[in-house]
Amino acid sequence: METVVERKEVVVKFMGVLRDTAGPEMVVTIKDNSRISDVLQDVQKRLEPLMDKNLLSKILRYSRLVLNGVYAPDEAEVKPGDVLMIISPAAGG
Amino acid sequence: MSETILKVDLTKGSIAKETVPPEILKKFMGSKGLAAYYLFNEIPPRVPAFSAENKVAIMCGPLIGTVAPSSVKFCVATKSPLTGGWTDGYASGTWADMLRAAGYYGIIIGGMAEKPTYLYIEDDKVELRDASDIWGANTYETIRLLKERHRSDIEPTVLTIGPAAEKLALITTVIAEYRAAGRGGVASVLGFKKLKAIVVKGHKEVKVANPEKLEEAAKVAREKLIKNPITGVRGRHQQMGTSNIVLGVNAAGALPTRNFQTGVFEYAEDISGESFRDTLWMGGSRRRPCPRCINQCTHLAVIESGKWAGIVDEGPDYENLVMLGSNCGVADKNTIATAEFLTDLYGLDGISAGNTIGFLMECFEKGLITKEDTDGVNLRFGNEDALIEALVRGGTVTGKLGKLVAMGVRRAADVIGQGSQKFAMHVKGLEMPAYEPRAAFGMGLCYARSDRGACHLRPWTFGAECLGLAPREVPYLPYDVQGKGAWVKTLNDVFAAVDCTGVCLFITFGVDAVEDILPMVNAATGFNYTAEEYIKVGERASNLTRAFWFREVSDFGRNYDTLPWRCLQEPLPSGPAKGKTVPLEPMLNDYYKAAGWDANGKPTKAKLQELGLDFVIDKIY
Repeated sequence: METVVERKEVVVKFMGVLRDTAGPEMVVTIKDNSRISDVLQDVQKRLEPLMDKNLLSKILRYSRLVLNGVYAPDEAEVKPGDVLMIISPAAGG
Repeated sequence: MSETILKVDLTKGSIAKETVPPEILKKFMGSKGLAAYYLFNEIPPRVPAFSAENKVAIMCGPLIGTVAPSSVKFCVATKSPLTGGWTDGYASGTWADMLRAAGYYGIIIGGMAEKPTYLYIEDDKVELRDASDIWGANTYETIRLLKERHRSDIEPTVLTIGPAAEKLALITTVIAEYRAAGRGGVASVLGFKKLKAIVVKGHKEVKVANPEKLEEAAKVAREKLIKNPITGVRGRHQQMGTSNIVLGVNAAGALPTRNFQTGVFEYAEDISGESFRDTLWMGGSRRRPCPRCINQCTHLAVIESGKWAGIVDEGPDYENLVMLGSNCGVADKNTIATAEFLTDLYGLDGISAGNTIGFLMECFEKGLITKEDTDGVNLRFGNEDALIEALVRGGTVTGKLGKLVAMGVRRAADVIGQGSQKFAMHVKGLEMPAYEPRAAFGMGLCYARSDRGACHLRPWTFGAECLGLAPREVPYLPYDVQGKGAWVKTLNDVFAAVDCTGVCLFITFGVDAVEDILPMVNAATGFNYTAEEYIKVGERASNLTRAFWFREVSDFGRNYDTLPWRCLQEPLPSGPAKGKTVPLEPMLNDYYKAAGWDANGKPTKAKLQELGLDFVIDKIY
């Protein structure tokens, strides 16, 4: 019988300016009791080589965070299989 | 600086040139402010919008035609036949550059011509000419014909109305060099006056008080714009224009879908800016920028295959894309681009048209209207052919369906009745644009109290609330209530000040609306406004337009600053804002308090005096 190992990953989807750098989505590995803030840190590390560090930091501080379809605070816990949408700056009219 | 405006009396056939008094110029600056000043004083109280006595103001700001970035946005204002109150709208492009090059800051149009007429301006030569041969022509044909007729050493620029305005549809815009201006039926007031077009040729240099300082300040602004990931080179506007926000708005649950029944569209990816960029806009390479613009948000859509093949047009921008797309349940890009093309061709307001057709589709699906009322059109959500048919009929005001579309959503709901008013999505009679206010309470407040009815830019709080343009803290989060009224009031005055300058609001995504724009204004005008005085120009304009409503509408007040029943009573069924309705009253209280208005939303005498609007007091008290 095949052993099923639960993958401790969340899917991060990007809207706005981060989508131009990161692409539509990335997968982030999490630990037990990880929070959105931990996921953001991981995203920051992975995107830092691709854009200005200060700008990236500000963008992540400003972005709106939607966890499984609901706005969530930085300290919200994330679980394997969750989808975190990062709505980063964009402007229209 | 000294500025000259033209005063046109179509009844007498007379044209006068008038210098704007310097103290008035400083106080109202231009564009929205100056239009409000002239129209408040020159339109007799309570005259019908469709009357010779009503007037239309076309007004520039001090930065138009200068080296300032995106310095192209001019104002068209009047008493609205759609709402019965104030309306003003803005277009970019090249038309206003030419007006200033001819030596004019604005035009006030009154009276009513006996026969179709157009205004011809070539520097000091200003004449009214017979337009009988172009009456009935669509906007693009009119522009082509008048350019051919008047082309000489330079190409004339043309502002025109379309067939919809000639037939007095109520949801029309003027088209100036392929760009639309004005909501609330402004073009139809010109149609009533039988003024078909304004052709301009100018050879003069736009003079400013201090050219060196202006270039210096413009350079600072340009450099900031270029570096910004939204407004800069290969930024989101250059790639996708304002439509770059479709996916973000949908993720926030705020994308109007099927007449605002929900804020999540299952085909959002298909109609996203990314999708348009990668197909109809050829990777963002089909840009059609305004002069001196870094953002370059406008793109040319070329439909190469399918039933709409051959159509080439600018757009669609975010507003039209959503209102003619998801709000009508349509997910086909070619159809949406075609629909937008038709609104331009007939001179229809794309927001109002998409809103009204979405409403009629809901009525049709609920059985409140039948094919009997739609001249046989199967007006269901997502029916692409029905959307196009409704626009063609609305643009030509043909048949029962065309009349329903052309009258706008408030009147259509009154005709249909049966409770449909509950989901007629308008404020003060102006159709709601492409943000769902239950998902961003600040936008609800903006819609409710904007001076032209439901407007997406008076001010635009959505970016701060839902798109990451402000930190994640009170009062910027979408469901915050506390502090929102005062914040929206401050933002409104700043936006209104920018509208008075003549630069495009979209540069404020890359530069500071005060810190960066004010130095350019001061260099151009020599007025040396402080930051406080500059913002007061916007506040003054907003209070004057507010007073216009009080003067024109006998029972005007708080009861008009509201939202459709659906936004206040029907919780959103899906998305992050599931279960939300707009808690309007506390936000409105805060706004009135911050604005210095009384509990009924009327500017107090003290506030009017503080703003130097003493001449208004005896008109509304």
